[in-house]
Amino acid sequence: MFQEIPRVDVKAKLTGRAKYADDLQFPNMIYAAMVRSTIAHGDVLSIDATKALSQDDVLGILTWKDIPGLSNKGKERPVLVESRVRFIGDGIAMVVAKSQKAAREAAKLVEIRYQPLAAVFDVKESMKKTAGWIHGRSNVETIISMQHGHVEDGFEEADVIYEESVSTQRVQHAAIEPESAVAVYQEDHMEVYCPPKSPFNVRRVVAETLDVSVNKVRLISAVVGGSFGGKDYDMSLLASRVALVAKRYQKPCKMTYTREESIMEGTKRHPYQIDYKIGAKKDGTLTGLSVQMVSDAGAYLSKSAMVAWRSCVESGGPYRIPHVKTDISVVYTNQIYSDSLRGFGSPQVDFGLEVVMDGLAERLQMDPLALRLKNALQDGDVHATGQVLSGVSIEKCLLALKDKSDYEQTRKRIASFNRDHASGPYRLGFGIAALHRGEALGAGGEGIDTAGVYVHIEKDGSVIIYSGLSEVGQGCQTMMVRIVSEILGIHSSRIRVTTLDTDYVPDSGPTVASRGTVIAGNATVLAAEELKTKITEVLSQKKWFKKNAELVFQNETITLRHNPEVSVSYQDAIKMVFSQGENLYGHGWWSAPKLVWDWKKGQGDAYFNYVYGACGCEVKVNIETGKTDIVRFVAVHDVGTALNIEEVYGQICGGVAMGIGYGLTEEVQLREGKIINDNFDTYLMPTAMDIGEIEPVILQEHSAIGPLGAKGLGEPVTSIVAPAITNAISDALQSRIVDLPADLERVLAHVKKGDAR
Amino acid sequence: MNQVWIQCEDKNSLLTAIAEPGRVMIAGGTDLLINVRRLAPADKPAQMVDLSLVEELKNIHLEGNMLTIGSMVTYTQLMTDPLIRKHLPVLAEAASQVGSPQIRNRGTLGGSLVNASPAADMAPLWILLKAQVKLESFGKERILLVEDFLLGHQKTMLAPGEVMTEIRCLIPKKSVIYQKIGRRNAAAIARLNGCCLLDRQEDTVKEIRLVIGAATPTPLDLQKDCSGWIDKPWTIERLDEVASQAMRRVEEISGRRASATWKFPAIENLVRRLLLDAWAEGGKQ
Ligand SMILES: Cc1cc2nc3c(=O)[nH]c(=O)nc-3n(C[C@H](O)[C@H](O)[C@H](O)COP(=O)(O)OP(=O)(O)OC[C@H]3O[C@@H](n4cnc5c(N)ncnc54)[C@H](O)[C@@H]3O)c2cc1C
Repeated sequence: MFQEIPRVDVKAKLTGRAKYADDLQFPNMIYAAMVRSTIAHGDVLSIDATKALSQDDVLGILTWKDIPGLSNKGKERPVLVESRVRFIGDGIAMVVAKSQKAAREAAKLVEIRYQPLAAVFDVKESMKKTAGWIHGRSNVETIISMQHGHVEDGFEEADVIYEESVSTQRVQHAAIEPESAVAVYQEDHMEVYCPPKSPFNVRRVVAETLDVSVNKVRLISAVVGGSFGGKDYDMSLLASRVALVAKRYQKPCKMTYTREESIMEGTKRHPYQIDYKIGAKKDGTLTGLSVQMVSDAGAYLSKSAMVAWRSCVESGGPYRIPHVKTDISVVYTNQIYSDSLRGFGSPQVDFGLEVVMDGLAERLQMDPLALRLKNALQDGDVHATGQVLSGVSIEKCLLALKDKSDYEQTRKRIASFNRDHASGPYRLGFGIAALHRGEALGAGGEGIDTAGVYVHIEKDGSVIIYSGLSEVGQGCQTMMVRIVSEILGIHSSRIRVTTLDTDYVPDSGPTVASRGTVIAGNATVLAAEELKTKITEVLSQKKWFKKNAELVFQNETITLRHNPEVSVSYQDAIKMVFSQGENLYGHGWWSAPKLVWDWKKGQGDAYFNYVYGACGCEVKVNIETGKTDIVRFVAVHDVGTALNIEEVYGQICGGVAMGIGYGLTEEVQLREGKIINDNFDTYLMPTAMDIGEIEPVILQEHSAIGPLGAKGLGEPVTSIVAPAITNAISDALQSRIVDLPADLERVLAHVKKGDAR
Repeated sequence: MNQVWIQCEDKNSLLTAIAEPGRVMIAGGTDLLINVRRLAPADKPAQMVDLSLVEELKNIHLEGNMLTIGSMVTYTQLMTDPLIRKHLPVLAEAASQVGSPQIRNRGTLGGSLVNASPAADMAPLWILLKAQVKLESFGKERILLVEDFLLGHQKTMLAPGEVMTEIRCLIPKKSVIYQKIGRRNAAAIARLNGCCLLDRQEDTVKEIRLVIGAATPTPLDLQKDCSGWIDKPWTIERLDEVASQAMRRVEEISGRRASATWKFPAIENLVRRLLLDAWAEGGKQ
């Protein structure tokens, strides 16, 4: 176990000194506000800004005609639409004013006339030939498949077949900081300050919009007030918008969305409809699985296909199933578009399959944990992708869950409570769910799974880390400090991580897919190792240094492994290096191992590694109201090596809290394409009073590939929370919940007639 | 547009200040500021009168059996007041379920009544307690039953130039049960709430008061619907009868909306639960 490192950004954030984009002020700054589509599908006929332009302090209005570069990017959402609007919220124009208030008020006065087109809001409707086309000549963007064995054979071998249809809802990131960006016009380049999840994509889109090369755009990250997968393409659009204004007026320009705007424009998690058919032998051995999914992409493409690919690859769960057939259709509708949201296609299939596993267990009259253990993947097993697995820890996770949740006792206690309180309003229930999840981007990532990190040792021995990966609150800066301090054997207080600035760090891809620790962590290892080599080279010229001697970097000293008497302090070693005229720049560039996916066959090496976890949840359901309370949530995760144990607890507890929202209360509600719950008074996330007791259980099965043996964690922690909850509710009610969220209405509808008396 | 903010430190200057037309009173602001945010700039109030420094409106006192609570008393104050906790703990209990600590620190009882949200948490209790409100204007005052004061969704009897100064009620002989159903355990607007008082002698019902909130524009008083019970024995049949009667009353007033699929069975269950718990409570000496 490592020594604890305080989170590097904690002080600034807790004291309120951290500077978020909206905190930034520049002289002569002007402000922009959006004019957005109020219809779900149609063409803009005219824009009348007369009233808006006559207001005090209003400087002008910009439309797509003011875009020097690319305005239309095919199926990607445009910075400003040319004429076609595809959802309520599409950006049509920007009003620019001397104050934010003036810009916002004037934007409301712009009058748009439309030629409306038929809009489609339901995926199944949208798939029909009669639906109005949103892009091209079909609303089905793509169908992605995985085929392993022959699923019909699997069903023939089965003694029991279970079919179920499940659905998941549209939820949102709900980061506390709404999107904000500032562009500062400079003579030879554009400076952009914003909270980016994928800084280099933001830079590229700004450059494309302004029609300049990427080196003419410099993106400096402001402190990010939460991402959870958001602030991705949305931030590219916002940054491009302020950059357009800054260029046009040659002044700094800021735009900050209100909460309502953020909810209206911000991407969401894809809602899924999934039909399952699963077969098993009497003893529980799984024989075949068919998964047919439809994903609602909303009005634009974004990363929907990549998200769908992950869902497809992970659709068989952490189980050994000889025959699997999965198809997922990605379908457009005239609604807010979907994109990455903490899980990237995992939460939907994890919910679906884990609900189905419980349904199957019931059919088989088997214990749900026993069914999972029976089919749990082992080292050397063939995954549904055809890949032979190693480093599989699902069985260990399930056994740890059994132990920590006191599984059998808990089930007995609950059964007797329900028996003894049959006339009371409460029922207890216990539910479990199991997880496997591909690490990093995988074969669907197409060669972008790389990261670069620089580590510089200064003359006084202090260290600066430059990284291209965003700190979105997940603790990636602290992770890099940990790695450098471990490898160089120095105290963490010597190390600082700089603000991300695209002028100084290499493109390291997006902060997605729980890839930060593995990809950037490995790059950090390489950079630190390079420094170690440089120090070793200089020390090897010393008399005491025998040929091929090995040095140990520890406790701020460097010692000979075979003769610990001989040592030099880190500080002195640094001095020696610089006095020789050598440098101490370290550079690390790490690329994920090559992976190949055969799109035709639907098989391949999807991910270089999988992570595993298992969760158990006890609920108390009020059968008179439908209200569910989380009593206890046990979350077991194999994190490889816990680089910062407190961060791991934080990730798990935060992930569980977020998953509770997905399970019980959160849903972006749309009526005819319009979001009706557009603030946090009606979009309900769990509060501290709603999350019960969360018990993180950390397994550390060393990863062969991660830095210091670590594995990614950010997304796995939230992926199987909802199914553990709904399985617990189903257990309490003896009636299966197959749709999300399990809100008052849905739960009460599952209370059997007569039970609530 | 210039905004004028008038702070009064006593009731007299307050009554003068609000006599001027077009001025809007602000107590805790937890309803007002949210409502104002949604208004167009031209409709936003230009002049606000702040009540927060008027100490006279923050008192709680008991005289004989009559409890008087100032309109500027906050939920936090209600929850922690020794008099309330001793003599009418259900008020503290209900107040503790309002919003979040921040809302309870700012939100006031007067603000809640004047805002007249159908989902307000204290309103059913005021009806059950047959509470009255005192409305004062320059040189005048009047007293109304809360039942008469509340007219509908954000509609009350408050006239221009009037301020609510106090709420008063008699301490009932029996304890009162209160329940709230929300979508989460804090910062949740009631999907339904309700309260019940039941007095009994052995197995005979002596008095029942029952009010449910958030189902109709103003709290629904079901005392009359329970009257068939008085001096009669407690039966499950009658319990079911009252529960389905409550559902029918709501349907008469509000009709059958999309939310009815949940709301109607939940109303039946809530009424049954309130009566059952009050029955158990009513047996205690
Ligand atoms: C996040 C959140 C959660 C909430 N949760 C709950 C909840 O769980 N339960 C609940 O019941 N409510 C809840 N509320 C609503 C609100 O907090 C309460 O209604 C509160 O009591 C309002 O009081 P106030 O002092 O803030 O009123 P204000 O907002 O100051 O005023 C409301 C209205 O009353 C008028 N007014 C205020 N005082 C007087 C007076 N003495 N005489 C005449 N007119 C007056 C004002 O002019 C205004 O029209 C919540 C609100 C928020 C924002």
